[in-house]
Amino acid sequence: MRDVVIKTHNLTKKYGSFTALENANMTVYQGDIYGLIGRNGAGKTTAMKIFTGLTEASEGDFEIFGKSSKEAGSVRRRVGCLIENPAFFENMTGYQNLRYYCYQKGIADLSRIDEVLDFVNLENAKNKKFKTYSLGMKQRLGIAFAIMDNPDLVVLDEPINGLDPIGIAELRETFHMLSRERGMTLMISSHILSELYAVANRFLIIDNGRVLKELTKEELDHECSRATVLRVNDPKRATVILEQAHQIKNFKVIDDAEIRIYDEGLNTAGINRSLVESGLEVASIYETGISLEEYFKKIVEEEGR
Amino acid sequence: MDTLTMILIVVTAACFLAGAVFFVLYLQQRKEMKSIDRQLTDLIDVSTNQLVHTENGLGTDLINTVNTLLVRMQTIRVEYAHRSHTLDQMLTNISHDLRTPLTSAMGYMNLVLDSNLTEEEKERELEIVRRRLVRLEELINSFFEFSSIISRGEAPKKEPMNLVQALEEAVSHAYDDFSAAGRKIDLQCEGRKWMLDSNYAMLMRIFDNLIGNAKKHGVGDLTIRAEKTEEGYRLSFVNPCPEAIDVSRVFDEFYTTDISRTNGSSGLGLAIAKQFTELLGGKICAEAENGTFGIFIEI
Amino acid sequence: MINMIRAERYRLTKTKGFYIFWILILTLIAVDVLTNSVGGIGLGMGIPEGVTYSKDIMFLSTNMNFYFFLLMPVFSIVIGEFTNNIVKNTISSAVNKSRYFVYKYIICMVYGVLVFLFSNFLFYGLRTLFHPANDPNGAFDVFVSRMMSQLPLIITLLSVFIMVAFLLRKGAAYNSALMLTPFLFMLVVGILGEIPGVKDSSLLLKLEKYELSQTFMHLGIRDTILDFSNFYRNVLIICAVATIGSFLIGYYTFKKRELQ
Repeated sequence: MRDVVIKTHNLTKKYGSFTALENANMTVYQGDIYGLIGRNGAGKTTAMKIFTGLTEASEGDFEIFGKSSKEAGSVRRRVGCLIENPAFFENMTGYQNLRYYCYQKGIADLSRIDEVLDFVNLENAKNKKFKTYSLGMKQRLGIAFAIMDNPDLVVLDEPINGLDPIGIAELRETFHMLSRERGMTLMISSHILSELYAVANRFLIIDNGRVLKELTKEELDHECSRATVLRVNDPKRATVILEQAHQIKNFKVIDDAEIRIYDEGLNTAGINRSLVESGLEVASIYETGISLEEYFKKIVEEEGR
Repeated sequence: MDTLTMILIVVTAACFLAGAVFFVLYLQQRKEMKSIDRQLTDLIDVSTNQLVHTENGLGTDLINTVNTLLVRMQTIRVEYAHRSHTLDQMLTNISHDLRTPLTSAMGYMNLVLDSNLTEEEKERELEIVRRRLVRLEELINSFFEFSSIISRGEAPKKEPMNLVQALEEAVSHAYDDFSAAGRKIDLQCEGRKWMLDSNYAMLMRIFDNLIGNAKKHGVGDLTIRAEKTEEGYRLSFVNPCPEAIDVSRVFDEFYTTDISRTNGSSGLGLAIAKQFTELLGGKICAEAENGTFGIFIEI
Repeated sequence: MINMIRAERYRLTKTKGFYIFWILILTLIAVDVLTNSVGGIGLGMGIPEGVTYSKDIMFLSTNMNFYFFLLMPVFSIVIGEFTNNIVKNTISSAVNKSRYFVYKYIICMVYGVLVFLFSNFLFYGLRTLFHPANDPNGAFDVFVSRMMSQLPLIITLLSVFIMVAFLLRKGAAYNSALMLTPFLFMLVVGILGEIPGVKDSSLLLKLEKYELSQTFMHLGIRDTILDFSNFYRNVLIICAVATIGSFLIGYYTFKKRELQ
């Protein structure tokens, strides 16, 4: 069982009469790349602000690294974060900005600055002032800041925003590297599911401050991959019939009741008939598979009501 | 006030000031030491990337040394965690992969046992069962082979051999399969006899795996190129590939682009190729760009 | 704490404002010493005529200058980090909100007080070396005691500046509010002074007496006020109340208010 990094219990945040986050429950495990998906203003940033101590929850509670929200200050150093847009001192260079935070955090080894700048490919721009940076460079400096203190949890708010496709691909590499080689847990938000899909391995769908669904990448694939699902009482015999009568080879036995067929253009009526004729009970046979964005829309519409 | 008193006052004040500075420095030093001790105590029981921080910049050298040690320990810990996680995943995937041919074979067995088929039909069904079991055996074998490579990790025996000949042989193994699918293998190599100190069987296994991987997951023609370099040889296996590929993970055990569609592949082919290449002292890497996927070996 | 100071020191020396600030102070002192004059800002009434004081005491009496000088360090230390909400980087990783306020408060305070002491001592020291033969400095212990009597005022000003900086968070608002306050105060007192009914009221006299530049002058020269000990006691009480009050207001509003 993996360690729990963040666990929330009915986390709620109200700004006056506006509810930014309502009874949110989520669990982030050690080693996750946890993606928060939601439209702008859905509550992603609010959740991140609560975890990083920028604001306090109105109701509910959360645990971070096994500490309650009241003791969260003692583990703050284990969290590296960048909330909202990356903001640094405009008139200082990228290097100087990081050095300021090195002193502030008490990082003894200043060579760490060059290390992280190198890691995010900013070593050539390290002596340029922050105000001359492009949005992509600002994002990368933000990431360098977030990982500078060797955190165990990295919280990044919309890091993909404003990056070109090459930048996104590089960032994906970076995230995987952090997760695999440094064992960091990442929490990343985005309003575009397909971008997050390529990066994260667990997802939280959130809308209007409410958590709609928490699922793993496998579950998401399961929901979204194009396949014909066959629910039948005896998969063993069903496979024989599929192979012999219908020449279907590309399928997978999921459990004692479900077979997934990945061939396309199936004669579902025919399959159903031949299975029933052989004395099998077909509980259901249906096609699944929608695009990620369709899935996201569907969830928001269904659960949002 | 005469001059003497003035000097006395100044000297006393200077001494007092110096004393105060030393006292503050001493207090800060002590604070730093205590803080280092407290931080290290906290780090003992937690698996974390955290290093020791300074309170005031006085213990920088000590902290840097301690941190170097901590980083070494952390690297080992992360590597270990990664291994055990891969093993978990491997077990999950294996049980899925083994279940599919097994379920199918049992289905046919039941068919043979339960229904009154003619001898001829039974034989045909049993042949299918046999093929499923062979597939199962292949999967189990490749699993054992892989785990034994990992656990053994010893250097293989090397002997002089002809690289070009090995490549040609590997191509000839797979040529028919490719032709049957209307695809070609294009072997581009300028020499006829390029000698190399290596292990023939392992090299063949690498080539077979790479070509097999191109056949299973790629489309179109496979181009194999061999070049002489200063340090040895550079081989490339490039084929068109429309799917998005995560090149950082292709050498992972059981990596497949779509986890639900393993198409009867174990996902071990490239992992074995990588392990073998590294055992033979070579380097292997993958690149995906402009709809092509290539694997490059330096040996 | 020390880490915050180290960081602040590093950042301050990378800003233009830091150098402009010191050039300004040093130039003023240098010009004063070389021309043997005290060119300070005195908003209120001047010193009584017919009496001459040594130039070091005169310099102290125009320490209203520091009202304007000390706006700058507080500006760069506090406001700089509120631009674009940069402060979130620190709050989310290094220290929590309440500590952040306390640290910034102490840093501004120590820096401001050091600037004040250093500048005055520098003036005295330079003048000891370069004074005209007929116009030497007064006694050192008198200078020190009068300067120290102004220190509570400086501390109060810094505390109020820090509070205003944390409340307003915007450079333009902070500057205009604090720069204009003394002039507005003078304007109000001036207008009230023209109205026949209130012209001689005790409130107006008190306002004039405790006006900031006047207070600096009274604390510097002391002869300008009749019962000095009474006056000084009142000044100390006002300072203590204003310092503690501004600290608490700044602390609690910053702690309670959401960062953007």
